[in-house]
Amino acid sequence: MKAHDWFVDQLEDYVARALGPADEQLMREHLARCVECRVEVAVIEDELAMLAMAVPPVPPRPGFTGRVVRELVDRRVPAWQRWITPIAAAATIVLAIGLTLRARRQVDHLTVALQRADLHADALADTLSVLRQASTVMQASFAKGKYDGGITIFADASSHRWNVIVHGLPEPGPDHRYVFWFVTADGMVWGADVICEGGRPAMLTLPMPPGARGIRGGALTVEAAQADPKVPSGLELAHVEI
Amino acid sequence: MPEPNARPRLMATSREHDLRRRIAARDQRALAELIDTCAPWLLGIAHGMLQDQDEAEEIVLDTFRLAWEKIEPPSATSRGIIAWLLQVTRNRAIDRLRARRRRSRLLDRVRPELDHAVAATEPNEAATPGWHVHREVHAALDELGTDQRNVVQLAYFEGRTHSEIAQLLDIPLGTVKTRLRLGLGKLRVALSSLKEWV
Repeated sequence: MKAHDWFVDQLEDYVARALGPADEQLMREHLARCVECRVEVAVIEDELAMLAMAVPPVPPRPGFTGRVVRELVDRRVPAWQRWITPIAAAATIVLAIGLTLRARRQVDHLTVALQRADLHADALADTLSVLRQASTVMQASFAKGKYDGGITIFADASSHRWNVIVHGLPEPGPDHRYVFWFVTADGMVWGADVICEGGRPAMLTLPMPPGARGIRGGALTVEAAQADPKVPSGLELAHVEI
Repeated sequence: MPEPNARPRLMATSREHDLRRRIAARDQRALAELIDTCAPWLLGIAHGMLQDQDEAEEIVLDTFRLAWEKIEPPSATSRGIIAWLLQVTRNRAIDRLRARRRRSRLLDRVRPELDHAVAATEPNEAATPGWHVHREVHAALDELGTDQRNVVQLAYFEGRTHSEIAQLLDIPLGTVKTRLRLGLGKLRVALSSLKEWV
């Protein structure tokens, strides 16, 4: 008798639950890996299942069906799992609102940055138009102590604007400022303060000073911060005339 | 042997397929229909074995819980729902009985009420769906000799092992195995035709 024959021989007793605990466990382990015996057990179970109907039926107590349905349907999902869906939904809504607000802020920032970039592009386009249409170009170099650079002026006769480029200026510090002046028939007229950040070249596009007569050149000076902003009194770095 | 198809079935195949589909689709009304149809028989076997209405209802509730979780739409390999529910209920009742015995550490004696619990009765609701199966099963049991019937009843309805039955009936273990094998063999032949009536 092979080992498998022993299991086949015990199948009916297994279904009837007549095997002792050790044999029942052996049979369960065997069934887990033997399809042939599982199929045979299913056949025997189906054939013997109706034997249970030898016991007379017992009418359920009133409300039994409803109680069972409620029990199964309500308890099928544990309480914490029933709450998890609305909590997840609420968290999703809060997260969506947060992301929307953040996205809106980013959009605002990007809009401002875009507007600035547009303005900058317009300014560059304007500068290029001045450079392209310049009818007169004036240039001078300077080398005075720590000031070692130059100034170039593109004068656009049609739009009456000057494009002024200054390079080689160190940062002026808190006590000084750089000033560009128009040289006119009536003397030096303030054109603009020249901002030099980090030693980078500065570029200015300037209209003609109102009321000025006989504009013939420009000058660059270093002025004391406290000096009269409209009257040149500091060191003159460059002076060019047509 | 009467013609099976002439008998009122506890559940027609088409209805069983319909219930399977609806329960698999989480239809609570289908679950209620299944309970209404099967609960009396499931409570019958559970109560007959445990002799306790509350415990019987617990077992049956667990059985329907399993059904609610496991029943799948009908397929070629589907087994009969009622046979499956009866088998699950009986197995759970046996587990409960054995746990009860382990707690008490006492080997029960054959209960005199067993014959009463399994005995055929003629209720006023003889038209109860499935009642004809009950009658036929009893006829099959009656066909067994007393010796074989006692062994089958102790194993099948009380969850007694070979050794326990030998001790209870004070007969050799080999005799128990032989009687049980002969009895179950005859019942399998007799009950195989009843499957079609359920």
